[in-house]
Order: sequence, then structure tokens, then C-alpha cells
Amino acid sequence: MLQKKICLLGAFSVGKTSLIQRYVNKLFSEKYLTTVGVKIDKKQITVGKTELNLMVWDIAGEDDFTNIRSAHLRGLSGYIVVIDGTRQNSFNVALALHERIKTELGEVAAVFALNKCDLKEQWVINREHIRTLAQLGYPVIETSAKLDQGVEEMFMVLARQLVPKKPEA
Amino acid sequence: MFSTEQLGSETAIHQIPPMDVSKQASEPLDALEQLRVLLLGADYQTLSDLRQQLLDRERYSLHVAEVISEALTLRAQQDNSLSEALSSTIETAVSRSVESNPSRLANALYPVMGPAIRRSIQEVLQQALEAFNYLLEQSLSVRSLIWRFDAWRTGRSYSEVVLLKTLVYQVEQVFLIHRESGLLLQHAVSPQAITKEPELISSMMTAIQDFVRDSFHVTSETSLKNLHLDELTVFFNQGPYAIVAAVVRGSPPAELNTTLAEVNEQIHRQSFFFLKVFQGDTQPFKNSLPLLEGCLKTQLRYKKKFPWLAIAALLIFMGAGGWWSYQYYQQQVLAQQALAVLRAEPGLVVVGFDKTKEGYHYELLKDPQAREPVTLIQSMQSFDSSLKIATKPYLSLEPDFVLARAKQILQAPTEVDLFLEAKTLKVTGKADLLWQQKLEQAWPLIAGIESLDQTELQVADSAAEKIAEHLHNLSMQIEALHFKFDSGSSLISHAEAHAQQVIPLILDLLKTARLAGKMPQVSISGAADETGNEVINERLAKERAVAMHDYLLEKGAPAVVIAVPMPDIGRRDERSIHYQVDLF
Repeated sequence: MLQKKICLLGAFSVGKTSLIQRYVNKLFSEKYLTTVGVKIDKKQITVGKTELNLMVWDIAGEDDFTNIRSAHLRGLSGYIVVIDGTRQNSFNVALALHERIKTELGEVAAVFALNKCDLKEQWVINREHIRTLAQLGYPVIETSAKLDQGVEEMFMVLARQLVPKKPEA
Repeated sequence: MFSTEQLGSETAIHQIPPMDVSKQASEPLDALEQLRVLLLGADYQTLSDLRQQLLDRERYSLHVAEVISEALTLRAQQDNSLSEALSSTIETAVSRSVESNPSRLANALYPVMGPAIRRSIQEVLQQALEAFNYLLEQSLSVRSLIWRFDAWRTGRSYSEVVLLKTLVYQVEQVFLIHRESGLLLQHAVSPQAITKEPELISSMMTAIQDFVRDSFHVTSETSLKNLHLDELTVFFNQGPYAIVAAVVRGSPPAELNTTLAEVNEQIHRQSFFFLKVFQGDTQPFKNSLPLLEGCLKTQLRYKKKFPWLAIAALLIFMGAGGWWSYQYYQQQVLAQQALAVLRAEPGLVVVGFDKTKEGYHYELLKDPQAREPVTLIQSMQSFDSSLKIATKPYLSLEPDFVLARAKQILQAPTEVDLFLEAKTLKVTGKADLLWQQKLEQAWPLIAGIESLDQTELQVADSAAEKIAEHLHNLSMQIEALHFKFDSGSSLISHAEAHAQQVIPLILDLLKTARLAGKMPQVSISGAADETGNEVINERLAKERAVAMHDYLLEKGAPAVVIAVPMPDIGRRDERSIHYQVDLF
């Protein structure tokens, strides 16, 4: 059982909590997010022969008024940046966050999640945006909390990046 | 490390000539050597000697041997790292010693074993006694009853309430947390504590620490020391790579912080490498678990007091046991006594003696003449055990019993005595014929009697005696009667009354005499008084007798009555007749 700290980041109200609500083991309720600024959940996932214990730090959304605390990002092995497909601002925030982490922690495992794909008709994110993201070198996954789509995949893709690649015996 | 004097003397002993070195070296090195000598001068010898010493194992070992004990002592005084470092070595050494020569270690340990075992037994007993005392207290004391009521009232379990009231402090959980990521490395929890999701908690505690640091103006070096609620405190000890956090309920002692610090230091020492390269694998930190568990201390508000209750309970128990054993023994004794009494009693034969659930059971054979066994053992009946007797009838041939039986069967009259001589019944005394006949019929039927001795028995025919007696009475009665005549007369007048008296008597006399096989004769003899002529009186007497005789015959007296012609000389001066009865 490998323990890994991962952070769930994104702009204010992109749907992070809704996304993961049913997939994690919870102890603390949503109010921690707004009071302490972080809510921690646990997700167990198996990659090949390795069992991973993902401690998911759900960090309160960044916007013009609040900055994500650097302290929370310490020691993380990977992160998921969630973007609200219907809001351009969330895309910008995502990019900024990614840069910041790259600066502070270097190259770490990451996944970009394009949420609210059920509202595709309202989407402002286009192929250009997606290409920009893809060029960063990390997987991009479309998700929908409402329709229960893509969340497991989101975790799995990140987890695969976390497991050290050992030659098979 | 080495004193110059020491080295000086060494150099003197070993006597390395300064020029030797330069001669041995090759050309280019020669120059180098010379340069060295020039630069270092006298120190050169010293240095090269030092070098030799370090390279020469033997010499080096000698040096180290001289200081090693002191060095170890010094280090041991400074910290505990020495015992840590040596512990695994010592363990291996001991096991090797045991493998190669177990008796040696056994001999060495032998003097220790005895006291150690005694001590541990003492400890165990002491603990058991105290635990027992505690248990009794908890069950029986007023305080515990109050607590039970409390528990019922508030809906908590009794043990919770006890813990609450008696707890000074308890370290419930200890976390070992990776400082940077907040991930949980190890977790120790005490058995009574409830723990939730330790991994989530450890991450959250890290987040909280960051939150506090960010929220309030503090220096970056500041770390969270403890979180304090009313009864709960979480202590943090921050090390360079890991944090040890302890959750304590109650009021913890001051040493706890020190303990946590020591534990954290030790873990850092042990697992320094793994802490540095931690990438999520917690396996290497398993050996830290014992250290964490060592912190799970509990202290109860529990004074070591003398276990009165337990000792009292034990004494009562032993007393009761002793009492019951005594009772049991007593019962046994009584039962045996009863048995002896029954065995000794004549007419009783004990054929069975068992111990049953209710008590003891005796089976007896009892002769009808024997005493009641139940009354015999009355005094030995005790409160809680009963002595039950079952009897079967039998006939004893003991002399006493045979005699008693004989007496009962024969119903001898009061003047008869019965004796038993060997198997012969001896009958003495007086009895009537009827009884004697009965005796002769009955004696063969008496078990135990083989012959009869009635030589000293006087058999009186009572019937005959009765008859004789009656005759005698009648005679007396008749002879008491008389009839008076007038003076000078032999005429019978007014004699009916007299006749009515006499005649029945005579009739009865006759009848009775016949029964006895005898013949009665009633002689009537007359008498005259003194006056007148003797010859005339004589004739008068005779006439009087004859007259009465005739008169009686006339009135119905039987012919046995005759007159005696002679006068009754015995009577004088009486004008009467008298009777005399004779039996032939």
C-alpha cells in the first residue's frame, strides 16, 4: 500500500467537490473547505499490482480574492486541476495554478479535468484550449459530476503516473 | 587524542632513524621526501610514526584497547545511543553463546533464576490479589453502585464511567506523520480508544497546522505544540522530517512532552534514510511501531492500597471452606459412631452401610425383641445429614433373645420362673395344670430351645384345690351352725330357718365332695346342760341328735346325715345340737 498525497485544485466553484463526492471515503464535511481552506478525503485505487492510498486534498477554490496556500501544496505527489467548461476564467486560473506548482515543486504528475461536459452547448472551452492544455504534456479528461462521467478515469490516469515504473520480474 | 609525550616515548622505543625513509624512496620521491622533511622537520617523524601506527593494526588496536572502556563509559553517560548501537550485536552474541555452549550461560544465569522467579511469582500474586480486590470493590462498594446508577442514567457503559472517574490520563493514540506531505507513516492506538480514519486525521492535522501558521502572525520556525480541549489534548512534537502527535485524554504529566521528543529523536535516528526518501512506502516504518506503542500510557487514579476486601473475601472463603470440611468430618464421625452403636446392639445385625445424597443409610436385620434402632442413634442425628435405617425382620438365637421370646410366648404365671441353660428351657415355680399343658405344647415351637427341664416345676391342680377349699369352707360353715333346744326337751320346733340354712349347705357339700371323689358324713351330736340327771341328760342329748337328724331328712337333707348317738362331751351346759363334717 503506497501512500500518496494529491491535490485537487481549481477555480472557485468549478465542481471539484461534486465531482469526487461519491468516489471518496469521507470523514470531514464540506464546511471544512470554507473554514480551514482544505478538506481531505481518501481514495483507494489499484494500479496493476500496486495498491495506492490517495490522500486527496480538496483545496478551496482560487479566485481574485483568495490565494491557495502554498503550505497545502507541500509534499504532494500529483494534482488534478479542474476546469469549468462553461467559464473561461476557470481555464486561466488552471493554467496559472499549473505554472505556480511547476515553479514551486517542479515537474509533478498532473491531470486536467474539463468538468460540466453535460453542458457542452454552453461550453466556452474549444479545441484550441484543449490543445493548449495537451501541449503541457499532461492528460486531459472530460468529466461530468452530474452524469457521473470520467471521475474514476481521472483518478486512474493520475494514479498510473504515481506508480514507479519497475521492470516486471 | 594522543599526547605528544606518549608519541615521543613511542618514537624512542621504535627508533626509526630519520634518514631511513629518504634512502628507501626512489629518485623523484626522494626530492618530495626531502621537501617534506624540510617543511615539517621534527614533526615529520611524529606524523609518519602516527601514520604507521594507524596502518599497523596491532599497534592501532593496542591504542584503541587502552581507551575503549573509558570512551564507552563516557558515551554511555552522554546518551542512550550506545545501548542502541550495541543491542543487536549483544543479541547476536548471546544467541551464539547459547548455540555453542548453552551450559555456560545457564550456569551464569542460574543464580538469577531463583530470585527472579520468586519475584515474578510474588508480583503475579500481588497483582492477582489487587485485581481481585479491585473487582470486589467495583462490584460491592457503595461507590461502584453509585457509578452504576450514573452509567444507567446517562446511557453510557459502566466501564466508561469507571474510566472517566478513575482516569488521571490516558494516551489514546499516537501518530507518526511525514512532515512535508502530512501522510501517515505509523499509528498506534490503545485498545480502549475509538479511532477514526487515522490517515485522514493525520493529513488534516497537518493542514490545520499550516492554517494556524498562515492565519496568525508567527515566525516560520513556529510549529504547533498542542491542541487543547476540555479533556482532550493533542501533543505535537516536530522533528526535521516527521511529526509525532499524541492524543491524550485527561491531565497528562509533564514528562509526556519529553517522552514524545525522545521517541521522535529515536525514530529519526533509526529511519533517517527512509524519512528522507519517503515516497509513500510506509513499510520501513513498521519498526517504529513499538516505540509509538510505548507512549500509550495510562494512569489511573488508583492508589496502591492494602487489598482489605480481597483478603477479607479470601478469609471468609477459607473460613467457609474450613467450616464445611469440619462439618463433613463431623458427619463422618457421627455416622461411624452410629454404625458402632448399631453393631454392638444385641438383636441387630448391620448388613449394609452406604453414604447417600441425603446422608447415610443403614440396612439392618432386627429381632422383634431388639430395641428400636432409631432411638439408639437419636443422639447422632445431626442437622444436615440424616441417618436412615431400613430394617428387615429376623430371629436372633442369642440366649437373651431366646429367653425373652420364650417368656413372651409362654405367658408364664407370676409364680413361675424361666431360665435358659444352653439350649434348655428350665421352668421352676408353681403353675397350674392348664399352664403346664400349654407349656408342653408350646416349648418346641420356640426357636432356639431344644429341650425342656420342668423338674422343679410344681404343678398345682388348682381345680382340685378349689374343690378342696370349697369343701373346707362348707365344712366350716356347717360346723358353725347349731340348734338350741328347750330345757329338758328334744322336740324340734321353729327349726325351719335353721333347716333352710343347713340343708343347702349339706347338699352343696355332697355335690362338691363327689367332685373330689370323696364321701361326706355330717354327724349331728347333741348336748344337754348341767342341770338334772346325768343319765337323763345323756339320753336327752342322744334324742336331740336323732330328732334333728329325722327332721332334716324330712326336710330333704340327703341320707349322708347321720346322728351320733353319743353325746357331745365337748360341750357342756348347752341344750343344742352341733354338726361335724367328715370326709372319707
